[in-house]
Amino acid sequence: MSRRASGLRAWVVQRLTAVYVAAFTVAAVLALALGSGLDHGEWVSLVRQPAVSIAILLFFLSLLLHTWVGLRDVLIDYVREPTLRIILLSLLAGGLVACGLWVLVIILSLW
Amino acid sequence: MPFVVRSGCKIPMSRKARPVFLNLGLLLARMPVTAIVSIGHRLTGIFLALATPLLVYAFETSLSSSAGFDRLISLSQSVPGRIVAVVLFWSLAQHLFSGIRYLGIDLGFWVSRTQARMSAWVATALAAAFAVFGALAL
Repeated sequence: MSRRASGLRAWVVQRLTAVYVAAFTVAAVLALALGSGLDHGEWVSLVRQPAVSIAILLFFLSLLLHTWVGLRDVLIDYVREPTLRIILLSLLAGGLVACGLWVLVIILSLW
Repeated sequence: MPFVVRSGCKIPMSRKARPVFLNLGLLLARMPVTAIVSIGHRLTGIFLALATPLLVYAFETSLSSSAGFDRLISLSQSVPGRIVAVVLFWSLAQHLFSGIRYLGIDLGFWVSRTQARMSAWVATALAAAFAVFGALAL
């Protein structure tokens, strides 16, 4: 069996992105809980810091890849009709790419 | 012979009139906790995926202007805002703790039936505890 067909890559992507998403989420929840007195200016300058911007972009990239593997599995498991399955998978992929581009535009507009 | 299709099986028309009872409570009670946590991981995953565009929208609003930022803060302190926040936080905690459990299982921990069930209970209890703590801290 080829490496592509084995599903190993999706399995690895799901686990690696899970670890990053989990670590970032815990850090973000803690940071937001501790810095609850933040005003708009401080929030913008925090997000504008290169390290924070990159961490946020990586977070959304990981989150969208994780969502892709997870919802792809759900659709493949429950939608048996091939045409409908392809349509839903395409809508999912399009929606996730759109979300990713949206985040990219938001971050780039700060720079 | 005429038939109807139910759950992918061809059933003769003569049996069509038989009622099908779906007792969800009974079904859940008979399921092992590991199965419920597994389905819960899927359901919370789907729910969190649906919430992702809202997260991006909130992120955009918070950065766009001072007014947007303040609107988001006051929304997060309103009653409906708090309810949404707690439900989202609970889903996130459940998905996170059951996810950590699955990573552990990948590494060979909590594989025996006793430990699998125990860890499923622990993940669910931790998620519930965090949700309660989050609700009180809001």
